[in-house]
Amino acid sequence: MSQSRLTRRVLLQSALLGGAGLLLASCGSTAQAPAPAANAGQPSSNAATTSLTTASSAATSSAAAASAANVAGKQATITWWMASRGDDLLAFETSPKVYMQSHPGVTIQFSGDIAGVGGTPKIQSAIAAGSPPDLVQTSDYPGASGLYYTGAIPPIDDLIKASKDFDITTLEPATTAACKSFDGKQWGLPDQLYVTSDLFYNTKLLQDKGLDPTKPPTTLEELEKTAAMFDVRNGDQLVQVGFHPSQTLSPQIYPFVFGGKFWDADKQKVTPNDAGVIAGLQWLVAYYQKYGVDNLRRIQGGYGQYESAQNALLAGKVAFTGFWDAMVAYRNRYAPNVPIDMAWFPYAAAHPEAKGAGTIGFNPTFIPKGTKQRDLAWDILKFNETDTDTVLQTSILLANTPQSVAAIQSPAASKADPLLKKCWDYAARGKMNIFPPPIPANAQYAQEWKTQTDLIVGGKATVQEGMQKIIDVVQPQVDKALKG
Amino acid sequence: MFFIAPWVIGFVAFTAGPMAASLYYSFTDFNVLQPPIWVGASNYMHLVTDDEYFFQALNNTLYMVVVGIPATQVFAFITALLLNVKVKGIPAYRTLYFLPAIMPEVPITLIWAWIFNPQLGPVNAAISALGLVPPLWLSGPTWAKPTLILLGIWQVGTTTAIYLAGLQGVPQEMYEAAMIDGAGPLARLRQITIPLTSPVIAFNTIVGIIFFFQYFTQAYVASSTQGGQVGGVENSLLFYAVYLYQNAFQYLKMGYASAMSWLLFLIVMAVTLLSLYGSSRWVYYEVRQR
Repeated sequence: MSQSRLTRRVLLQSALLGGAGLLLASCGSTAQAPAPAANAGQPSSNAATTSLTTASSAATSSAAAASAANVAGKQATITWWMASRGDDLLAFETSPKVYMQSHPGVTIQFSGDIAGVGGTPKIQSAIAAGSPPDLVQTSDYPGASGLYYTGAIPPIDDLIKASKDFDITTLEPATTAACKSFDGKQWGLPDQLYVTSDLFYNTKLLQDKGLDPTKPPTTLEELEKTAAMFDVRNGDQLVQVGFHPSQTLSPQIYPFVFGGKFWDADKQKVTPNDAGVIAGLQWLVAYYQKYGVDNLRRIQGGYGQYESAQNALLAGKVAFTGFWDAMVAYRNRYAPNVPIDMAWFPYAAAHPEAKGAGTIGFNPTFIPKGTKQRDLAWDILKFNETDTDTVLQTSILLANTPQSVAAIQSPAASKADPLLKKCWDYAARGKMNIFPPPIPANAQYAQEWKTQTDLIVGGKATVQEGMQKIIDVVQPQVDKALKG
Repeated sequence: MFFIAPWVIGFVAFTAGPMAASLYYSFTDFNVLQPPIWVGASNYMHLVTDDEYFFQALNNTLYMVVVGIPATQVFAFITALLLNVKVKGIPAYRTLYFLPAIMPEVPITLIWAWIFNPQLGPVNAAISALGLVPPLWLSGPTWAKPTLILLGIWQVGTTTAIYLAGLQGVPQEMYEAAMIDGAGPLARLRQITIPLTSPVIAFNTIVGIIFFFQYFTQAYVASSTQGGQVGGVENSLLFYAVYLYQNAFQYLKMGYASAMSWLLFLIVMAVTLLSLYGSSRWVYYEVRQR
């Protein structure tokens, strides 16, 4: 058997490899991917606290009358990828189907395979391959925002400006602003909203405890005190809490009800160390410490599927829950005999200016790069956004909130379930917030926020340490994108 | 050449080509949607110097390798020993033990999450009935990985089948001779069974190492049952492949993810070579090289 030895060949090969490695290391540069240029003159939109204002102009009327000249009479097939399946997809098809009726030459093909975070890679692949759909509606807001900052979504400001029959101010402002980049470019529009901080409660449980269900808690302190009346213990073990702060609520609601902000548009800095954010998290930590982290995690793990009769509120496992508008539909469908009501999420008593603060979700809808039917796609999107009847119909079917202000204020809105109308009222008159803010790297901001709040609640990091870690991870990426 | 052309074309198109492309992209800032920008080795430098989550993911993965492999291999070996006994109905037992291995991973992980539900699951109900404090399993950081290791142990059917084949290759004369010499069952296991199945043990161990280094599906699905947070509670389920996926498809940092994948390749290659080198000391090959 030959013995291995250091031959000239081996030495030369090693030297070649080492030299190649050194060459590559020395080629390292700070070159960055191109990002949309910052528009210094335009005030950046801060998608924090806003309020819905009365529509100053009426929404567009039926598409038959409002069709733009360059799409009238067109024979075309539009593909629309949607973030829903089954009955929800059928509900979202309401508006496009009416459009097709008034435009006989236009066929809109729907596909519902991009639900959730897993859908964004599919969209990304289709755009990269040069075969994108003509319209995309996704439920992954940070993912869609990320696609814009990678150049996959051209802005639609030119289309909006050219459309005399479209007034963007008739749409809900917080979610519309979320579809705008930090430098003011509108890349998408919200399609169907859902307030995620509605405070639903079981009125019978309150009555049984001698409480007045028409007077739910209005401050966090009242909520904590009232909810404690519904805690259940089995000997020493806590088996049920009246309100679980993380059951379906995302932790960012707490900073918002303390008046916190996550982004300073003027300084272009992420601000998870804002005083309100810190205070909100400290309240959350105190709540977890009061009941025990393990106890709350164990109880949370035992909550049933939310879209079923095992929903914690419907099954009587909690008296109060922060949930989104669809609770109305779930109650009607799975537990029609459970009496529930809804209130605005309580604010921190020391921050009355945060009264009405809430969080709202939405489905960003955009025209991706590479579509060959941009004008037609825009015409369909415009109609989908603002046709009052179909927007309302879709919202009622889905138990969502309409993205159109005119739809919420129209007489036809009275057809909605009264409980759903309360959610719409909260969206309209409350101070809705979006998280993460519409900045580059917001997907990482959202993920880092989840990770750090988890560690903070679990006692593995202090609030200050966690928030500093978010700044350390996210701010450099924001700075990199801002430099362009 | 003509006859192997289909394989060569497939290999180049689906293996070598993408590998070469990912190697190139690992030296670039690339988000798939815009042309890659050459950044040299800065992705690699950032990974090993600045990225805390890289080390956390690697740590979590190494936990699975160090704890999961012995646990699954020992259980599979013991199961194979039991299934190698000639009793009535042994084909049925072998089928039952193999079934979990062919079940789809996603629904099985979801079912596992419910079985180990800290509040409602039957496992904790049984533990509570014994008067013990049940753990949080996937709902807490301490027991999240062990829960997945238990799932891996339940699904060792394929490994067991390989061990069974190895056991059936051990000559019976060896056992007979040993019994004549007065060797008991444990002695026969130590001196005959294990040495003669050591090549199979080495093979399964190396395959297991590669599997656990690329651990993804069960971790990703299990995380989804805990509030949808990728990485699980307190990042306890943030494994290397999960973090790689996050960088590639959530943060759209394909260049960075490519660098991660090549680093993983080098790590797995190094560990595999080390295992192969080390195996010459304890693996018995009947046919020895001259």
